[in-house]
Formats: sequence, C-alpha cells, structure tokens
Amino acid sequence: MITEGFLSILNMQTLIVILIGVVVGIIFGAIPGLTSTMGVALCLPLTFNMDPVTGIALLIAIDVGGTSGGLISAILLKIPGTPSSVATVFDGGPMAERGEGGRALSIGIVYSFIGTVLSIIALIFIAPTLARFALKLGPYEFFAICVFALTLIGGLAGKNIFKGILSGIIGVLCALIGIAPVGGAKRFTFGLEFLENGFNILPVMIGLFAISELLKMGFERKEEETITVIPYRMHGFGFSLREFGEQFVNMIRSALIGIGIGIIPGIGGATSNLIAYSVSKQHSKCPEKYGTGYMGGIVASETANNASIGGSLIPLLTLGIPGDTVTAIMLGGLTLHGIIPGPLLFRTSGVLVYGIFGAFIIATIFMLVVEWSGIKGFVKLLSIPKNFLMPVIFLLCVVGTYGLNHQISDIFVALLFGVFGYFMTMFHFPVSPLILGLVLGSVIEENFVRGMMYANGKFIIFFTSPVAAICLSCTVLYVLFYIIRQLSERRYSGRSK
Amino acid sequence: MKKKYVFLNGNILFSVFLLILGIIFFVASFEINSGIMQVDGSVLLPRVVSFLWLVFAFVVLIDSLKNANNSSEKKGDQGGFLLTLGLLIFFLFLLILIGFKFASIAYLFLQILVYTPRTKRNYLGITVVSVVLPLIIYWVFNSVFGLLLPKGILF
Repeated sequence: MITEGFLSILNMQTLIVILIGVVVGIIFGAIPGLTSTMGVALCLPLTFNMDPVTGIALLIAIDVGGTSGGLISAILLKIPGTPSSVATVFDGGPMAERGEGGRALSIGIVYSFIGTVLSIIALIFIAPTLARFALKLGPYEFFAICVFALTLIGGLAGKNIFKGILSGIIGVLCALIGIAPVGGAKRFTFGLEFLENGFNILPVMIGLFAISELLKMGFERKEEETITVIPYRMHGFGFSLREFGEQFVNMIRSALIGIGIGIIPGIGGATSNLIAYSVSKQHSKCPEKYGTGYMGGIVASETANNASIGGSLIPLLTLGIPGDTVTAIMLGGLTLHGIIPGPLLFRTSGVLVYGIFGAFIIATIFMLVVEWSGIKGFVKLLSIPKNFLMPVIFLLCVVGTYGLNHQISDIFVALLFGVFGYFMTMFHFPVSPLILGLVLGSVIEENFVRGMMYANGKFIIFFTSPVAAICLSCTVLYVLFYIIRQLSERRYSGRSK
Repeated sequence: MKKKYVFLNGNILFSVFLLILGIIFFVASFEINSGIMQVDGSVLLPRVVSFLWLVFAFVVLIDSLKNANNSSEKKGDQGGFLLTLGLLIFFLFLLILIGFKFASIAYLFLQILVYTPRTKRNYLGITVVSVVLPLIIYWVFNSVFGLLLPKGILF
C-alpha cells in the first residue's frame, strides 16, 4: 500500500501539476497581500477534473511554495509576503540591508526545506498511530473534540476570546443553513432558493480572503506607493558547516514548535514562526544579536513555519479536523471528491494517504530547486503594482467561484462574505475561526445527531465518555480562565490608575 | 466637557449588527420543522448555536461599550472603500446582463482607476491591460480548460 501510494504520484501529469503548484505557491507567498490560502482557494476548482491524489497534490504544493515564498519579500522588501514570514523580517531585513540579502535568502530557502522535511517525517510516523487511536473514538468524542478545537481556535486566533468564539459560532451556524442532511428540514433559508443548498466553502473563502482584501485596498489607497527591492547576490548555501552545527539545536527546536502548533487546529505557520523566534531568542547565548541580522532568527522562523504544514495535515488526515485554513480548504476539496478524511481513511484509502505523503516530499524538493534557481524571476514579480494585480486576481476568483456550480448566486455569496469579512477584520474579529466553524459545522452536527440518537435524546450521556467529558470540561474551563484573567487585569489596571 | 458619541463607534455598531442577526436567527430557529422524520439533533442544534450566537454577541457588545473610549478606529479612505464596493456590485449586475468578457473589461478598467493615484494614471496602459487580460482569462478558461463562464442575458 505504501509503495503503491508513492508510485501513484510518479507520473508525468502529477509531477507537472506539483511543479506548477509550487511555482504558483511561491508567487502567492512572495507578493505581499496574496497568501497561500488565497492561492489554494483559487486553484481548488481546478482540482475538480483531476483525480483526488493529483488534486490534493496541487493544493499541498501551493501551500509548501506559498509558506516558503513569503521569505522573499520579507527579506528584500522588509514586508512579510505571508503571515508565516513575519518573524523572518526581523533578521532577514537587516541582513539584506547590510549587503547580505543573498545569504539571507539562501538560509531561508534551505531551512524552509529542512523544516518541511522534518514535518514530513513526523507526519509519516505520527499519523498512522494517531489514526489507529482515533478509530476507537465515537460520536460523543468527535463532537467534544470539535467543540474544544473551535473554542481553542477562537481563543488563540485573535486577542479577544469572545470575538474569536463568536466568529467560530457564526461559521458553525453558516454550516447549518440549508436543508438538514438528516430529516430534510429547511433551516434558516428565509424562503430564498439559493440558501437551500447551504454555503459552499469556496465562495466563502474567496469572499473572506480575496474580496475583503480588495475592499481593504480601496480603504487604504495611498497617493504614493513605491516598492523598493533591496539588491542582493546569491552565493552557495550562505552558511558554513560550523554555522549549521551551531544552529542545529535551534533548527530541531523550531521544527518541533512548528509541528506541535500545526497539529493544534486553528493555528499554523502564522503563529509558529513568531513563537519559534521568541523561544529561540530566549534560549540563545547571544539574544542581543536577534533583530540585527542574525542567522538564528531566520533559521527559527523559516524552519517553524514550514514544519507547521506537515503538522496541520496530521489532524486533517487522522481526525478529519483541519489544522489550519489551508487544510480546511483541502478538507473541502477531499469532500468534493467523495473522500471523507478521518481515522478510517488509512484503511479505506491508504493508497491516497501515502500518495499525499509522496506528493508532499516531491513538492518540498521542487520548492528547494525552483526557489533557488528561479529567485530572480520571483523577485521581478514583486515589482508588479498591486493596483493591477488584485483586480486581476479577483477576476480569476470569479472564474473559480462560478466554475463550482455555474450559479451567479455563488458570486453573490462571495461578495456578501467579502463585505462581512472586511468589517470583521476592521473590528478585530479573527476570520479563521469562522472558516473552521463552517468546515467543522457539518462534522459537529453529524456527530451530535448520531450521539443524541445513541443517547436517546439525553445530552448528559455524552459525559459518560472520558474523552468527551475531558474535552467539554476543558472548553468551559478555558473560557472561564480567560474571563477570570480579563477581570483581574482590569482590576489591576483600575488600581494602578 | 467633551461629548463622546459612543454609538457612532464602528466596533459598537458592528457588535449591534451581529446581535440583531443573532436575534433573527434565534427566532427563526423556532420555525424549523423537523422534516420527514423526528430527529432530536437537527432541530435542537440550530437553536443551541443561534442562542450561543446571541449570548456571545451580547458579551462582545458589552465589551465594546466598556472599551469604547480606549479603542481607536483605523483612519483611511472611506470613498475608496465605497467606490470599490460599488464597483463589485456593479460588476455582478453587468455579469448577469452582458456576460463575463465585457463585464470584466469594464470592471478592471474602473477598478484600476480607483486604485491608481491621479498623478500616476496611464490611461493607455490601463485600457490595454483592461481589455487584453480579461480576454486572455476568458480564452484560457473557456477554450483551454473548458469551463463555462456567464454569457449574459442581453447577448
């Protein structure tokens, strides 16, 4: 099965698709304002006519390319290309300013590769074991895990846990709109025909990421916008064997942080790069060098953010719970192909799973080669003005959205969520809990309905499962802990005034 | 004493909007019929979720009211935002009327103008890009990938 899985991707068509995916991903990652999430959402409709392995391989390739591509603008423009590369700016920018831009790029590319490889190893070894454990879980446990995951996302995704949880609840409710899968009841359709099929994840994603970005650009339009790319020259890997040895512990620690954070649903590279940077600085023998163009800063950031990619695939493949927004879209993609990720996936579609692992490995190798050799071309793309680029991206999004069901109502839904997403971002409501709520909503409902049937309508029976009881209790305690912390912070600030 | 027009704070207005939506969904949850078979979860869950929406929207509103004086709203170009929103709605109507090809040309031209500062507008360049790119996109996705795109009801 393992050999069959790996061999399933070793054909010309899949390899070309992976290569294109990596290139598209790097482009989306490198240009500030575009993200790998947007790239994955845009390319999702293209996967409909592909077989499942090739389709998912494309999406993974875009994610790998996009997460790594952010380092290009982070170093040469001092603007992170994606949220996963924020910490790369702290040392990549200063290194480029003192004439070592090529060295910074080389370090970033190599450690992106290493981070991804380490996460692939973790994925291959952890996922099957976790899947075997997950087979023992039933509807009570899955319901409780999803609720806890959503609460965790709500708390970690933004600064205000109430806004985060409300965002997740909105996502879950959006998932419930339409005709109930069991019973056929019409829910929240308000007599509108286009709501009877519910909201598809693609128009929602396009709205929340692409259209809200367009509106944001209109709000932030400036009179003068000049883009200055810092000159650079690439020489070899950019570091010696001795420096590699010095950064070895930093590399392993950052990879573990990236994998661990990737596994936790809702947070991904955007958080792991900052945490890894901060931990690396705390444990360093020379913390004062961080922020001045120190190699360790780039190592921490780029290893962690790419390690999160494999980490986020672990809960997706084993539990059917996406680790971040990109895997949430992948979940949508797999569902559209009739594949339900979860513990049974390794038994029913083992070839697919190992094909995904193989695609991940190939995409990582392509990312190293393409980014290294094509860096000049990618840097040229940074000069494309956003005022031309974004409207064109929007047109591509319209093509993708319409291509789903050939319904104008899907474009209307995208526009609606675009406006909603714009205001959410303006008023500091995190968007990722909404997306995860939308994706997990059907999983929550299915397990809740099944659980209630087993329990003869008595919700208290859910607590007879130790896993479910722990997760639901942790959910309540997590919210209570936040409330208590907020109250004590306010009391303290009141006293100091 | 300076009057604080707290109710004009965007954060509060948005929180009120979410609270109103929550009320609408909660009331609507009582009108859900169970359908062809009695299923405990499929009617109960929407009610629970909409109730939680109501509760958390209320908490967020209270939180926003308490922090109204501390929060500062981002300054920007309201006109640019409204023009972009107007163009997106205009594009949707054009899409229905005249189809993807011509709607995209019109939208792209106007949107690039909105984004480009007056001093940097190259009308010839913008026109060429606005005409050529949508036609390329249409050709690639329609002829090469075989994807159907809106043709419009007028043509």
